[in-house]
Amino acid sequence: MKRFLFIFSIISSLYLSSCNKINEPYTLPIPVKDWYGKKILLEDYTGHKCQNCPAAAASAANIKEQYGEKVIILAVHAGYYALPSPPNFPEDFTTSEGNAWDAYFGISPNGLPKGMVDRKGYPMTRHLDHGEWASKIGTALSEIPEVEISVKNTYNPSDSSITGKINFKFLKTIKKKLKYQVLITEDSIIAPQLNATTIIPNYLHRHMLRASVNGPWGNDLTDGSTFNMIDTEISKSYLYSLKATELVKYKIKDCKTIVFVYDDATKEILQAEEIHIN
Amino acid sequence: MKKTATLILCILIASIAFSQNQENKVKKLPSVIIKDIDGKSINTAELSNNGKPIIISFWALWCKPCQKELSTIAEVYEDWQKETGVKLIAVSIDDSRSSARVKPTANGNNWGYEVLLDVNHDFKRAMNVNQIPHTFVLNGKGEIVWQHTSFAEGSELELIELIRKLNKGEDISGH
Amino acid sequence: MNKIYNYFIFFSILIAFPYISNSQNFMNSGSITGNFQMDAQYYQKDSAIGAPEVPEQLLMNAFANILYTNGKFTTGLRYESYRNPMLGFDNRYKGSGIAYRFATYTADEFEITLGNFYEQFGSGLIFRTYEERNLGYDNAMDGVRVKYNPKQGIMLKAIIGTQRFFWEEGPGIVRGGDAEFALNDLFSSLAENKTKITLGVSAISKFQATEEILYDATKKFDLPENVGAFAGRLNISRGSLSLSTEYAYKSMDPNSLNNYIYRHGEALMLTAAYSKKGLGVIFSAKRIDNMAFKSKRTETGNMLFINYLPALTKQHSYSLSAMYPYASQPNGEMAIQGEIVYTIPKNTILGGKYGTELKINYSRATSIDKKALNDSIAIDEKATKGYTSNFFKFGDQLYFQDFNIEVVKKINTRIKGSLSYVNILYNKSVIEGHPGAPDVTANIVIADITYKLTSQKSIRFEGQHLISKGDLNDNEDPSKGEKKNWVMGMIEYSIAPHWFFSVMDQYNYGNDENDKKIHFYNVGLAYNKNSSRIQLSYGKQREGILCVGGVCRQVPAANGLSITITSSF
Repeated sequence: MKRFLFIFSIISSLYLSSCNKINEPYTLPIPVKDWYGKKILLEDYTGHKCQNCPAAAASAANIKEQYGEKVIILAVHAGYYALPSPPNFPEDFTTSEGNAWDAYFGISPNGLPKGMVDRKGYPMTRHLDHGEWASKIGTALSEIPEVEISVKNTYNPSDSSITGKINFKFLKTIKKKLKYQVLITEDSIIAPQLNATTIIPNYLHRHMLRASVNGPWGNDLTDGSTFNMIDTEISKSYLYSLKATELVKYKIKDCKTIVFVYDDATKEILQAEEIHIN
Repeated sequence: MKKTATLILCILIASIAFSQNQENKVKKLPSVIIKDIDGKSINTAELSNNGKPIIISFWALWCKPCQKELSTIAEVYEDWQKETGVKLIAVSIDDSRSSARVKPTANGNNWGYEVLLDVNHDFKRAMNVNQIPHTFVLNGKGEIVWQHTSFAEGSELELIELIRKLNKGEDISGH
Repeated sequence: MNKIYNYFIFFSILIAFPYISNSQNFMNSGSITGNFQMDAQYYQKDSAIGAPEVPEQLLMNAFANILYTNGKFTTGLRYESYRNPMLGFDNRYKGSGIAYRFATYTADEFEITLGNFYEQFGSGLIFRTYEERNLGYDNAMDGVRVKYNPKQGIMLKAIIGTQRFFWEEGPGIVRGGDAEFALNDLFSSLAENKTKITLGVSAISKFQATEEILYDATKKFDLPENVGAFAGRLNISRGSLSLSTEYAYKSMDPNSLNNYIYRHGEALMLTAAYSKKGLGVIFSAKRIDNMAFKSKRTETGNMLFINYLPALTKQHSYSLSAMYPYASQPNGEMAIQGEIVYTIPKNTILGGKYGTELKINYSRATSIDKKALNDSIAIDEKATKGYTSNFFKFGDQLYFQDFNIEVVKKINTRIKGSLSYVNILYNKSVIEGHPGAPDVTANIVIADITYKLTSQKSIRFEGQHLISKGDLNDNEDPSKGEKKNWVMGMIEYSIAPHWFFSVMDQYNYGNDENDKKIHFYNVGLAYNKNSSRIQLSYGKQREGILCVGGVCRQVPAANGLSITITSSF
C-alpha cells in the first residue's frame, strides 16, 4: 500500500514536472484594462554610472507609451551610481530628497536599477526589477482611487516663482494619516550615461527629480484621528521660488510638478498628479 | 502580539529543555545520510569504532586552520591509534564546487582518516556546527561527550589527553 | 504578524503532538540541541576608505537554531534577528522572527519532512537549496519532502514547496523528484565487484503564474508558466580511479537574467580523479549554457536560485589571494580545472625528515561559443531563441584563469610553514559587471610560518605580497589610477586551546593615488571554550568580495569594533 502510494506520488511528480512549450513569435498583445481614475507613480531609481539603467528607462518609456497620463514616471538619481565622476560624468543629479528616500527604503545598496510602484509593499517587498513594473502597474491601475487630486500652477517669470493650488477630494470615507508631497521634475536632460559597455555622451535623461517643495516627507493632509467623509475637499497651496542656480540649469518648459498623497503608516501612495509648471 | 507569541514560544522551549533530567541526558549522533569519498551512502547514526572513542572533525578545503589540524594529527595518528584505538572521521563540508577534490587531497596528503562528504551541510546542521574547524569527541558508547571549535598548535595534545581519560573511564564533560 | 502567530500555532501543535502520543516517555527520551551566533559591529565613519556613516552606529545579525529530537521525530526552528542588518547584507533582512521551522518523522523506509528543508539533487545543477548565513544567502524550501529507501541501494526523494525570499516566499512553486541507484548494493552479483557504480536521475519543475512583462509598448512576452528541468548522473570508481559526470537540461525559461530569450538550457560536468597514498590527481571540465534557474522570473539578485552552478576554481583562503574570486556565469561558461596534490616522501632530498606537501592547481573559465540565429537578429535578442552554440567549442572571451602552487613543509619540531604563489587573470567587466573595466592580472606570493614556542604556545607569521595590473580605483574612470601593489603582514599568537591574539596590516602601498595608499590595520582577540567562541576585533576592513559556497557578497569598507559570539549546545 505504502509502496503503491509512493509510486503514485513519483508518477504524479513526474507529471507535474512538465514544461510549457511556447511557439514563435513569443509575444502577445496587451489586453485593455478597466480604469477608475487612479494614477500610478513609478519611481525609477537610477544613476548615470549604472550600466543597466537605460534598459530600465526603456521599460518605463514603454509603460508610459502604453498608459499615457495614467502613469507618472519619476527618475530618482541616487546612491553610488549617481555620484559625479568627472570627467566622464561631471553632473550631479542627486537630490537630498532622493538620497533620503533611497536610504529609507534601502534601494541602491542592493543594486540599481530598481523601482517602486506607488511605494507598495513597505516594509517588505518594494524593490522591483524593471521587468516587474508593467505587471505591478497593470494591477494597480484597476484599483478604485480613494482620493482625487487636481492641481493648478502659475509661473511668474519676473521672480521665477511657482504658485500652486491643490484640491484634494475624498472619494471614500477613510480614517488614515495622510501626507502630501510636491516635487519639481525636469524632462529631457541631455547628459552622459553609461549603457552596458559604452558611454552615451548625449543620452536623454527623462522625468528627472530636481527638487522637493516640501522636504522628503511632505506635509500633513489629515491627522488620522477622525474620519474624512466621502466628497469632502481640502485645499492646499504652495509657493516655490527657483533659486538662481536652478534657473541657470532648468528649462522651464520641461519642468513639471508632481503631487502625491500617501498613507503615513504604509508609505503607500494613494493618488498622484502631474502638471506642467506653466 | 508578535512579541508575546515569541516569548511564549521561548518559555515553552526553555521549559522543555530544563525539565529534562540533565543527568540522564545523552547526546548521540543524529541520523543523516551522507556519502563517503567513494560515493557510498552512510548513515551518520551508525558511525562506530568497536567500542573505542571517535573524533569527528568538520573541515573544508578552503579552511586553513582545519587542514592544519588534520595535518598535525596525521603525523601522530598512527601512534594515537596504536595507543588508544581512537578513530578520526574527517567530515568535509565542501559543496559540489570542490567536493570532488576532497579525495585526491586527503590521499595526496597521506591522511589515514575516514573522510565523509557533507555537500549540502545536512550533517553540519544536525550537529549544530556554526564555524569550522569544529571537533567532537564520542566515547565508546557513541555518546558525544566533548566538542570544541577552532584549532591552535597544541590543541591536539588536549584532544589525545581527553581520549586517554575516556579510555580510563573518566568523565570529561567538565573540560 | 499573522505569520508569526501561525508559526506559533504550528509549533505548539508540533510540540504537543508527542505529548499526546507518548506522554510518559517524552521528557526522558527527547533531547534538545542547538546553536547560536551573533555578529555585531560598531561603525565609525571613515571617508578615506569609503566607510559610510551608519546612523544606528551599531548593527547586528544574530540567529539561534533549536533542534528537538525524540526517537523518530525531529523538529526544529531558527530564530533570526537583524537589528539592523550589518553593512553588506541586504537590508530587506531587517527585522526579527522565526525564519525556519520544520518537523521530520521517520517511519520504516520513509522520512517525511514538513516545513522548511534544504535539499540537493546530484551536484545541484537543477536543484539545490542551501544557506550560507555569513553571506546572508538562504533559499530554503517551505513545503513537503518525502524520502523513500525501499531497499539497500535505492534512494527516492520527492519535494514540493516555495523558496525563502528574505522574510517572504518566492512566487514560484518548485516540485520534483530524484532517484539514486547504487548498483553494487542493488545487485548481489555486483556486491564484490571492485567497480562501484552509482546512477541517478532527477526532475524539477517550476510553476509561476504568467505576468505582464512588456516586450514593447504594445506587446508583452508570452511566458511559459511551467519550466521543467531534467538531469542524469553517473559515478564510477574502481580502486584509485574515479569518474563522475552529470548532465542537465532545462526547457525554455525566459527571465530577466537571460534577457528573455526562448532557448533551452544545458549543463555538463565531468570529473576524473586518480589518487593513492601520497598522490592525488584530478581533472574537471564543465559547460554551462543558459542555466539561470530561479523561482521568480524577474529576480536579478542572489536570491531564489533553484539550482547551483559550481565554479570550477579553487577557493583561496588567504586575504590577498582571495581578492579576486570567481563565480559561475549562469548564462554561459566553459571551464576546466586540474590539480595535483603530492607528498614528497620522508627521508628524500626534497622531502626532508618529515616529507613535503606540494599542491599545483590550474583553472580556466571562458565564454561559450555563441552565433547569431540569422543576419537580422542580434545574439541574445529578447523574444527569440537567442543564439546557436557549438557544444564543444570554447568562446573567445576569457573570464578567469588561476595558476597556483603551494608547498607545505615542516622544518623541524618547532617550525612549520608554507609558501604559495598565485597567478590570477580576472575579467572584471564580466565578473563584477563593470563594463569597460580592463582585465586584472595579479601575482601573489604568500608565506605562512608557524613557530612553536612551547607545546601550547605558538606564534604564526603571515606575509603576503600582491602585484596587480588593471585594477582601477574607479571602474568608470581610468584617470583615477590603479590599485596596483599590496602588502600584508600578520602576527598571531595562540595559547592552545583557548586564546588567540592577532595584529594585522594590509597596505595598498602601490596605489597610483596618494590618498588611497591606506593601511588597513586590525587587531583581534578570540577566546574559545569548548564549543563557544568569542571574538573581538578592531580596525579597518577593505572593500571586497566575500565568497563562500558559490555565493559572493560585496563587503563594503568599514571601520570599527566588531564582536562575534558563537556557541553550540
